[in-house]
Amino acid sequence: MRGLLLRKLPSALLVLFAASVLVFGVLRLVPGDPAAVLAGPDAGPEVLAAVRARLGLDDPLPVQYLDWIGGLLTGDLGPSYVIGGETADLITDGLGATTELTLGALLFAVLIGGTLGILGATARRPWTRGAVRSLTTAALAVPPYVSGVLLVLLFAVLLGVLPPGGRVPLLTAPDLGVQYLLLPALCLALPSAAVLGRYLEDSLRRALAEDHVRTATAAGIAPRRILWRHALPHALPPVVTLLGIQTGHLLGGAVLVEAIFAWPGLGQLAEQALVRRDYPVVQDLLLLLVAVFVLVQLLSDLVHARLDPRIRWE
Amino acid sequence: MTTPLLDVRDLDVTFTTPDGPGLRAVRGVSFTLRRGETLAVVGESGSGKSTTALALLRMLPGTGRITGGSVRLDGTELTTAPEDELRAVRGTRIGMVFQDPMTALNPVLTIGRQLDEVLRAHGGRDRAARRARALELLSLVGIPDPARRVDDHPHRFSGGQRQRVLIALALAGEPDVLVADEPTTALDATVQDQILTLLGDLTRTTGTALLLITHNLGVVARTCDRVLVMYGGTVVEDGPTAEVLARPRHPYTAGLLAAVPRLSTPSGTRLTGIPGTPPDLSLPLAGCAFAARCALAEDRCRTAAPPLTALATAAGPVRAACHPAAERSVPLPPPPPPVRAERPAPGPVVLAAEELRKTYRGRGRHRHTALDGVSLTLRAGETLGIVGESGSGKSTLARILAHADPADAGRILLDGQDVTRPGRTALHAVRRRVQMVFQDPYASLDPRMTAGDIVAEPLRAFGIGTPADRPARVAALLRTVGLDPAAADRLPRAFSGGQRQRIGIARALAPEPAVLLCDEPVSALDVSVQAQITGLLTDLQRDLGLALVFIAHDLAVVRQVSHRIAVLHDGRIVEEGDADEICERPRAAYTRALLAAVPEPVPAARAEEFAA
Ligand code: SF4
Repeated sequence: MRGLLLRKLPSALLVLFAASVLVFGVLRLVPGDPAAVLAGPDAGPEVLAAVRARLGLDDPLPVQYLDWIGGLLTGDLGPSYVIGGETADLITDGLGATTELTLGALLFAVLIGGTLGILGATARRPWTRGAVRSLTTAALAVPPYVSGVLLVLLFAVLLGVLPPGGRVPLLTAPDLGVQYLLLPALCLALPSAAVLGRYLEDSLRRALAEDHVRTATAAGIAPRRILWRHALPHALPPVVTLLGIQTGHLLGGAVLVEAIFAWPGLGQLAEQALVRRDYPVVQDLLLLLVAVFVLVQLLSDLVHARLDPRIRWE
Repeated sequence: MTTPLLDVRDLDVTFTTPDGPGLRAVRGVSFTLRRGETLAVVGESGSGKSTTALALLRMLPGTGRITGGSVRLDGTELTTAPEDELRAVRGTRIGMVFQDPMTALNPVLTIGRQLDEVLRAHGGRDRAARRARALELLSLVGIPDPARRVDDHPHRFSGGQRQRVLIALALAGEPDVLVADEPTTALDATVQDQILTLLGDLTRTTGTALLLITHNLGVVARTCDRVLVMYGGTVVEDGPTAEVLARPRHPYTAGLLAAVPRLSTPSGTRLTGIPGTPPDLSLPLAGCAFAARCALAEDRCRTAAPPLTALATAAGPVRAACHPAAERSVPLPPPPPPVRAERPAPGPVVLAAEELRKTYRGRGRHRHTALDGVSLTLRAGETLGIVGESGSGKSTLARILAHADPADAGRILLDGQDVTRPGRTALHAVRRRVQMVFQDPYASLDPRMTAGDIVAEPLRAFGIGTPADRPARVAALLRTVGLDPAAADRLPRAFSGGQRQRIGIARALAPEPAVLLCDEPVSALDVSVQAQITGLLTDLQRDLGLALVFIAHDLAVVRQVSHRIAVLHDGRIVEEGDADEICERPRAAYTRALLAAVPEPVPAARAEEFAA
């Protein structure tokens, strides 16, 4: 396991480095001068120059890059001039909210997708299989802004059991926090649940057709036990890889869902920073996103190897 | 007489097909198995032998269903038993060992876990006791150092060891009957020998009855007291192994025996195959299933199905389903002694290899030397047999000689010219002169191309002939390999295995090569068809002066078709020489071990031949 980690780590670090250079470069190329934004439309050249100097925009690019990376490594991201406050604080606040949303959605995706996948693969009646199929199709086809609005209409407006938007942090008030989390998490989870369900169904069906399932059946092992203890472990490794990719999608989807449910997460922060050209914040956010992607990928590789012994020895 | 342990009567199995009446894979099969008895069910592909085995435990794949007859275990009917009653029979009364040890074990569970699961299903409550029993089972089937291996995953074991683990799984519930479906087919001869010895020992010591499903008559002779021969879904003959294999009553059994290559048959002998192909199981059968291919067929054979009739013999009763046999009291006359074909003396050397070396790099520092200094020569009109087990380097050698892979060191000479590292044009010329025939006629033909296109492809690639005259060339090639040119527009799946191999040979012949490299060309084919293909290769050699490299694991086939044999082991040629010489007076210890591991269908007949 440690060998695998050591093998994967260099490429992960390389991806991070390349991403940081890319992010840094692209943000220097886009038109629009952050100093001009900050100084306001009426500022004279002297004011502009002063602002530039304060932002460090006069330094040569490599120095700016190293300053940025150095800040990241020491946790000192500097102040956000446009939005106001410390960038680190802004990001930490948003990160907590987004993590909560993504993990909640991940849980939903696994629960719903897992149930649909197992039902779809084992159902004898064509009726059940058809129902599973249409459910996943629907979940895949409906975009979050439609499903989000529908969910709000149903649970918040019609039934009035759940709040339509906003957030109460789970850690400060768990009972209230869950109520606020349920709808956005479900909305975010639906497409991933459908993809997972389909994939698991397929993988499980193939696992059930394997010769070793026949061996187990001939040995007199009960079908239910064969499903959970033999076929599922065999079907799971590729699903875990997909789960890793889906987690990335969830992070992307969070931007949209946060907007629908007024969820104060990184998506909201990113939108604000982009609109107001707060490039330092955008830059930090993008790199953070890449880092999370890389981390999730690394994790899913490790779990995959844990589940499939053949990978460990290759 | 006591009631038999297992009593199968008039068993019928049908696979429903989307169109048509379905496939009757098993047609009225009856047999009995007594406690502790060893019975072999032998037949070729499509004979219904594996389907019969799976039907016993109602484990038929896909749309297969038992449509008639009964299966009684100690008097209990299994065909209609409820599912959970059947589950109590599986593993505890009837254990099954499946073919292909590579896929029959779960790759993500340790073998200890898999054994534990089975022991648990049979009511083992105590975890520690189950583990102790698992270790005991592993040592019973001959896994060395079980305590250390029990927590390993299947991919850490060799093919032979996995087969042993599968046997341990089947024995875990201490069944009364062990059903083994082709348990040694995927294994090398020496490993096969060990597994058969193990099965024999286990049945003797535990008193378990063995039902062995196989296509290999040598395996039957080696392992079982009684044999049941199946053809086209029916039982054609059944009796004591020694009697049936030495004095067959049924023409199919006799034909099968004559088709099996014997280690004792000298080089240059033509194998006698059975002409034709097995019956189409989706069609109703009026008479004898074998009538279309039987040399003794009479009119009544085509209209009335012959019943299994008991015939008294010195060794005990033999049953045969054949009209004339039922009226005859004597066995069929032995087949005419095989004739040794006149072969023209080989011509000049066409292909030579000197000190070929090849190392494959694994992950990390691991290296695998596939070829370690292999030299050989091949003359025009000569067949060089290359024998070796898996991992011997024989396939690597074929790939290097075919220029599919470069050698690390050494030289390859074609017509006296160095072609080890040919340039583009030289490579083109080499590819034209040296062609390959592959093992698996199913995998090596593109399923979407017609037979004609497959054969025409090399013509186009090498720019032979004009587009206008190519159809005529293709037709001629198909005729050369014994196929009807009218079949050129059919897809590969419309052909039988033997016919597909003929298409593969026609494709290889298209660029008019001087050398044919045949990599296990007959090992995927049924015995009765093998002879047709080896015969074809011999004819082609005689007519076209081809030089053949015949790579195979089956020494008996290799001896018959080859002039010379090279024995490959661990990337080296351990012995090389005249084919008969090698098989009769082997010098290398490895060759002797290989020869000893080949099971002979009729040991007695072999002794007679040597005496004569
Ligand atoms: S019954 Fe007739 S066709 Fe069938 S094996 Fe006997 S002789 Fe041949």
